[in-house]
Amino acid sequence: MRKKKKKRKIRTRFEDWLPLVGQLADKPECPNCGEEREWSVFIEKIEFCEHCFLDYLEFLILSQGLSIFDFL
Amino acid sequence: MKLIKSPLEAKDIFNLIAGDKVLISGTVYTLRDSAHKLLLQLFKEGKDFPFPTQNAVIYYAAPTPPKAGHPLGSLGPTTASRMDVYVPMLLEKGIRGMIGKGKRSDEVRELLKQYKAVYFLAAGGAGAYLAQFVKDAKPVAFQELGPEAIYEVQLEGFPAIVAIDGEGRSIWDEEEEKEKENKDKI
Repeated sequence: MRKKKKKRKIRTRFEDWLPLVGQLADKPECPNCGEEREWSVFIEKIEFCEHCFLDYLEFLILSQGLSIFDFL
Repeated sequence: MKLIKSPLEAKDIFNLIAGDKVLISGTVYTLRDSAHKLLLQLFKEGKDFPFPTQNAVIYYAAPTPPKAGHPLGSLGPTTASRMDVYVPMLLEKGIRGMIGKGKRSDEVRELLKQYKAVYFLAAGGAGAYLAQFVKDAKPVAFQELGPEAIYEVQLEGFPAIVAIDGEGRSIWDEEEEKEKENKDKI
């Protein structure tokens, strides 16, 4: 009998991604943009909230000639 | 890593090539959307700008309130392309450097080449980190705009990348060539 293929788990909520990208924020305001945030990620000791992280990602893509596929 | 001083000198601009990593020191002026509108008014009336523009560098940013012992809170770059329409006015007034985030239009690239000016890319999202390179800051015009007032900011070793140089070369040239080739194939 053929083994049933295991269904791939799709991460749909931020909480599912949290162990991969960062930690829940302990303070409501981001030190960078001052916006209220839900989570932070540290890259080389610099803290990025969910908004700032996207800005930084854009900077990396634009300045290093990276493609989004380099991150996958 | 190249060390450069603001206001810029013609020889500094000549030596900068798209892709160069630089550390900027000296005086720069913050400019956001609202301040541009007020400057445009002055420009139309033929009046002087409220800060020295000759070879000056502007920074598309607005500071957050200062913390104790610091000249300001965070100072991250904002999207420069929103201000593309004001670039001819700034260049005509003598400004030769712009620090911001994101790509610029082809028109801006041509203007930078024409006026031998430079566009620097600063790290987006890292305003608190970048603020550590600010040694002093004070509002010099349009204080009624709050954080969008024009601030005179003293930088020391502020990290940036030359995105478009004085010859009109950009760090996106190769990528844009590829895009064009792919479009042609389709």
